[in-house]
Amino acid sequence: MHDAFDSAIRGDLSSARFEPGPTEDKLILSMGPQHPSTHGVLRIMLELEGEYILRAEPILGYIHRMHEWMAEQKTYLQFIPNMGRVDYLHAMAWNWAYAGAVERLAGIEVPERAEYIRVAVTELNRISSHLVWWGAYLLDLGAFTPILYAFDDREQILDILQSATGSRLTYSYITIGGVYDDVPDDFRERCIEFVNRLRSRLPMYRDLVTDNVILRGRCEGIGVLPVDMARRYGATGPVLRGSGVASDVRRCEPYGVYDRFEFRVPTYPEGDAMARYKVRLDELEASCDIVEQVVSSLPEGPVTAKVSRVFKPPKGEACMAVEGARGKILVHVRSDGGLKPYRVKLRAPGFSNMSLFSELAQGVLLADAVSILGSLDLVIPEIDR
Amino acid sequence: MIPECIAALGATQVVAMDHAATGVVASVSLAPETILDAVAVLDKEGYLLEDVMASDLKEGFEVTYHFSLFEGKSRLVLRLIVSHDAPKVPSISGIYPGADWHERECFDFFGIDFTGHPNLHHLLLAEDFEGHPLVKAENSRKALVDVMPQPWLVAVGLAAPEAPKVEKIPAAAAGAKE
Repeated sequence: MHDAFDSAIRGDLSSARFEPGPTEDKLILSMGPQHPSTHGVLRIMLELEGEYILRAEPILGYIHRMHEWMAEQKTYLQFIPNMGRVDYLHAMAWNWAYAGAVERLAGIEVPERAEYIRVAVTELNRISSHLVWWGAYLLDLGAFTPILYAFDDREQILDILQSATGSRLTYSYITIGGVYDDVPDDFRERCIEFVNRLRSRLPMYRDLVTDNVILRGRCEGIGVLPVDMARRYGATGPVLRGSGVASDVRRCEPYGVYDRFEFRVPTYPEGDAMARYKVRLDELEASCDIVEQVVSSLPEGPVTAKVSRVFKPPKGEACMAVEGARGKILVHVRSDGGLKPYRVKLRAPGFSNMSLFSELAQGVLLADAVSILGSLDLVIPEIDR
Repeated sequence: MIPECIAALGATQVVAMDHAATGVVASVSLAPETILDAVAVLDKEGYLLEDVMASDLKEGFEVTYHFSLFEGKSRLVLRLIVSHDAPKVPSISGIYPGADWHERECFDFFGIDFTGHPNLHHLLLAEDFEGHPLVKAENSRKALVDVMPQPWLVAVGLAAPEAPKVEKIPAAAAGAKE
């Protein structure tokens, strides 16, 4: 009787590989896929000894949509809207990575004004992504109010981006050959206004949240990630920079016109959740600096290159790396000279960053694992694709 | 542009690539059984694993590994081909634990068997899903020569270099304008 009940609740393949016992303190916990701190539909199987984690195994696929298969069914231009749905928080960077890979493949020269606009909207989008992370992370740690402030600021960005792109979240603005349309006349003023607003808010965020002793207790010394481990797991972005490595795609293989702007690549050597937190907050300022430089030197001219409606790039393969809010986005496109891509591969930074969670969470308190998860800045649709 | 460590990879072919056109600096072709030694060399050199991907071609499944350094334009692509009938590749997850999930993804999408993988089962697809979605139908598979860039094909001897006839046209066009 007892056995029958056990096998009925044990459920699926993933949970079947976790055995309870032999002592009473050893528990099996299935966290998610609806747990609030997993930000969407991530599930983690946990083997606990009291409150300590013996083994953690993330289980993916709850929001898997097979974007790579869809790419092979659509024409090059038709696939662009998919990219906004891969990572809904930093859609611009994904748009850019895909458009850039196809441009490399076809040898398309992007007009200068379009390159500048791309930088401006991608950086604004990065700020909005970091603000969502900031609010949500603090929500995970039990602080409710900051997310209201973060969303207030983010709303200003969404308004600016809506005026340029027509969408608020899943943009398809960066397209093959440039951007879809020119920015409105008041784009520059609104960007400057926003940058000034955010700069005046950041000291308040620091005073109220970053210096808060409870936050520090939850972040400092938690989930320390050594550089060598980060490298073997392929961790990139703020996770890698929080371990003291100044690696940023915008710096090491500059794309677009990033090499024309001055900006800081913040790093912190501690490697803990607090270091990752501080990197992202510093990146808010760095992105503000870039946006300011772009809009004050925006050149005139066309915003899109001539791309044939019946677009057939020559056969070959190309990839493009872009620094997304979560790290290195890499899109591979392979063409057989036809109307549709032969193969598209999407390398999601969150996928690699998430894969180190198992090792990082070993032996830590369950509550600290929530802090570690949050500090990795996960966007599940990007991981599952 | 090509780093020195490439000589130690035991490659069958090494081709320097144009980063501006392809995003990689060198393409390294390997025999499947030598991949572990090659990856161990890259690990020692401090390369970061970006991804492992597969692609379905007429010749078999092409498995490609992308590596880069923390700095500079440094992306290397390691490529190997295994047959459709017995797609077996040694797993590199013992050297790069980050490859674990990437290899499981390739197993999901193509059914490639990564030998020595500690945990090779479905990652993204449902556990009762049958088949491998990215495997192409026999008649829609393309050969390597149809999906690789011309400079690569020329370098490995699969295509003849193009005759330098291009120069004539701009000269004629310039003449017509005047």
